[in-house]
Amino acid sequence: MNCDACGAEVSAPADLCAACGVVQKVEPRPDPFDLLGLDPAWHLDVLALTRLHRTALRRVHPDRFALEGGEPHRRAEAMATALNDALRSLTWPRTRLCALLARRGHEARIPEPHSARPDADFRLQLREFESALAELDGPDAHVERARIRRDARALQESLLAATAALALDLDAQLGDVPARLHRVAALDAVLANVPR
Amino acid sequence: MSRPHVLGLDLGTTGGRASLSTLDGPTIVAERPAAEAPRDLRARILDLVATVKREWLPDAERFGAVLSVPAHADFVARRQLLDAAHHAGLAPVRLLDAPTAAALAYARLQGLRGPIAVFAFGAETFDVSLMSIDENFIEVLASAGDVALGGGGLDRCVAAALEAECPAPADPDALFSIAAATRWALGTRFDVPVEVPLLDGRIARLRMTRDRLEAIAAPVLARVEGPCREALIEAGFRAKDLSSLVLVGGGTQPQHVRRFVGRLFGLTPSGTLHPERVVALGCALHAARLEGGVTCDPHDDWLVLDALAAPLVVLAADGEPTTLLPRGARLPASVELPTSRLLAVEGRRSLTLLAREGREGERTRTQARWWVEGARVRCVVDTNGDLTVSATAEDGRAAAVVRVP
Repeated sequence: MNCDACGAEVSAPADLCAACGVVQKVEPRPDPFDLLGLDPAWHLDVLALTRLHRTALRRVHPDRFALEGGEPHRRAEAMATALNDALRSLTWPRTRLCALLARRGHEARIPEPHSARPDADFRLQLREFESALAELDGPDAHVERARIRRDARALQESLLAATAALALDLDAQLGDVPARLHRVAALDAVLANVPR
Repeated sequence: MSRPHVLGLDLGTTGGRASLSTLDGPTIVAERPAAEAPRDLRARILDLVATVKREWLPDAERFGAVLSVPAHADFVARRQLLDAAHHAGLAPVRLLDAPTAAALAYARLQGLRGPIAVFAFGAETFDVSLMSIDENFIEVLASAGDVALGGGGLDRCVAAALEAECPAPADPDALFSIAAATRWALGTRFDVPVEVPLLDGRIARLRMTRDRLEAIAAPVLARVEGPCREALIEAGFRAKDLSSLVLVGGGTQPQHVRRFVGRLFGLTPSGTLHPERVVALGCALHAARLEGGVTCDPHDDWLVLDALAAPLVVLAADGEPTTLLPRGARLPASVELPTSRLLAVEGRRSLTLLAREGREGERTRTQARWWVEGARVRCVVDTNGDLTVSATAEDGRAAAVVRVP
């Protein structure tokens, strides 16, 4: 791409023009992978991600443009905001999944636990958790609670990973993604019901 | 147009200080005790800037400032401070959290490194921040605090204990300063005589011991334990993981407070910078950083990574609080959501911003409210911790956002 101020070529990550030193404009809802110069992936090295983010932030931090004020400072604020949002989005699996789905043009959000509407097949699976929760009693209840939490989290992680694999496969259809996200939300509701 | 001179300004509750970075390092160049400072924020800023101009920079035409702010100052307090600074003619204006400014001063002036705890106990504010410091970054890992806690609370407790022993009503103005002086004196002595003027003209002659002071202060100081624990949990640390403890603010000067905080973290407080001046020194260092701008020496190119001290919480469509940005989110940050997820009040969508209060954040109060139109709303918290709300229609054009007074 080219610098929006001087027209020189700007190499990825396209946050700052090396030729004229102008921070580039941020597109509305930028892709976090592109912004940080990362290939889209489900498994990310958090340390490498942090390093990339810090290197980029050092180039465009608003404190570097405070004295210039006006448009240069506004651009730096906008770019630093986008970089921090990108880091936050890619650090957490759920928002990382939403970012992967957004790359496929699918604006997704994991529903709140109370509005989860899991499909009939998954409701059968949930019944196992519900009956285990109903039987919690006796001196070993805390062990059983820990097992339920562990199993529900493991199932959630596998659901998220499978949906991410779908998002990364450019030939895959994304029609059942909303149902998958309702399954994740239903497990949130199960986890919320496990007594502390 | 000439470049502005960027000052450090600390408008603490114990007084105001202006600082400058000179060739010999950061220096406090103007001080105004709280009793002599104007009450209005803008007037306090103008008073300090005028003193600096008169005594240090007579040729300067324009000024900017790095202003310290309690880490737990809410969006409304930050906006008031920014407005006051802009109305005073300052540009640029950067708000820096007081614990961050203190950490910056210790990092640059005394070479402090590693994960540290900054315990900022002012006259009427309390913040605890856990920070990571290396050669290039000063990073806020977690913050917690209590906006209604400070050394003034301890003085009020001591004053109440003294008054209870008086045979007649005491002079309330004198009592508070006598209580503060007594706390100070007990830093080096085990017991001190106290003379309290009574309203009937007599003098009550009392004694206060260090043990009694610690018993009186214990309930107030116990309230700092919760936020300290919260910050440790949020940063994923145990107290023994920290390499240093830094004390900031006039409230930390009495020995009994230093001992209490030292025991709490299992560390002896580090460093020799004056706890009431260290924030202003950090502001001066950051001011020099801003003046360096893009031409700053790359070998001395450190960066402050600010974080949100309190989560951005609004009322969702179902009337329940929902967190849009978590505490600890790196600043600047933004969040965008459909307006349909916001609470409808009188048929209109409203962005109702909540603040959590109380020891465990168990109470909420409304901080501010906006009427929002359009399809999507965007909240941006900038580097200063200042919040801006905007909205867009389905076609991407700007939609109306009105702040409810």
